[in-house]
Amino acid sequence: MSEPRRANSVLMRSSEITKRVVVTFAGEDIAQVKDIIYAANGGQVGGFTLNGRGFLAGPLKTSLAWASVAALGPDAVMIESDSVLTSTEEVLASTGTAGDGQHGDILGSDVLTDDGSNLGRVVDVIIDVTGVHGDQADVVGYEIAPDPKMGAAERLLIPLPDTLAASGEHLIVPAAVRNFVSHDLAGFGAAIVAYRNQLNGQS
Amino acid sequence: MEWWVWLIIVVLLAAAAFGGFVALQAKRRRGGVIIARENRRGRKSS
Repeated sequence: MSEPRRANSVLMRSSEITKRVVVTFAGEDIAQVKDIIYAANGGQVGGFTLNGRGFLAGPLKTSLAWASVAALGPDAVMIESDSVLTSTEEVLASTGTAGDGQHGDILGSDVLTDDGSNLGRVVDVIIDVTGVHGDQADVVGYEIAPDPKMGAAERLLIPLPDTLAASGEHLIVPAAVRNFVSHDLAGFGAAIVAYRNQLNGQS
Repeated sequence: MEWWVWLIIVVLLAAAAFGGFVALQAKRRRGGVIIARENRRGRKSS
């Protein structure tokens, strides 16, 4: 059963979140978001891997679990203190994402419909963040660079169903998604609700 | 060889090393959306 989107939720692209600075309540600027960890148990954002501050700093060995995020604001990710950071392996394991290298980047993967059509390649991921303090964040759609056969030149937004199947290096979506593509985030929230209602047999 | 030839070689080698470091660092810092392999095969609604 799909749920309507909550009134206080905001849609944002994953690229808007990566590189956002991580700041403690004491005002310390301790890291930058590197990867968004997509939890294996239902499509929620499970946390973030981190880069050190400054170009010379590489990836950190610690990560930030979503439960430790105090607020996901437009300019920074707020946390209580640097003590909430835990090892990357621990965060990956808690989200069902194996810390043994058995995880991959969605960006660049091909999206196929269940009737075998290639819709395009994922260039960004759409995340629905609920609550002023970022109470919950779910992956609700992909932004794709469409396959030339689709006849569209610009990027398209496709909503994700509640249940999603994929195989190997491809991400599989129901063919009905073609009727719910959007060109911008403004109308995408309504497209997600309409798409999920149709998949669940509601009008 | 003339001293200035050595200078050019050293400058070129330093520039190549710095360029390589910058490219490697950009690759290491590049972000994405990571997901478990099993999740790529199917996720269930809560």
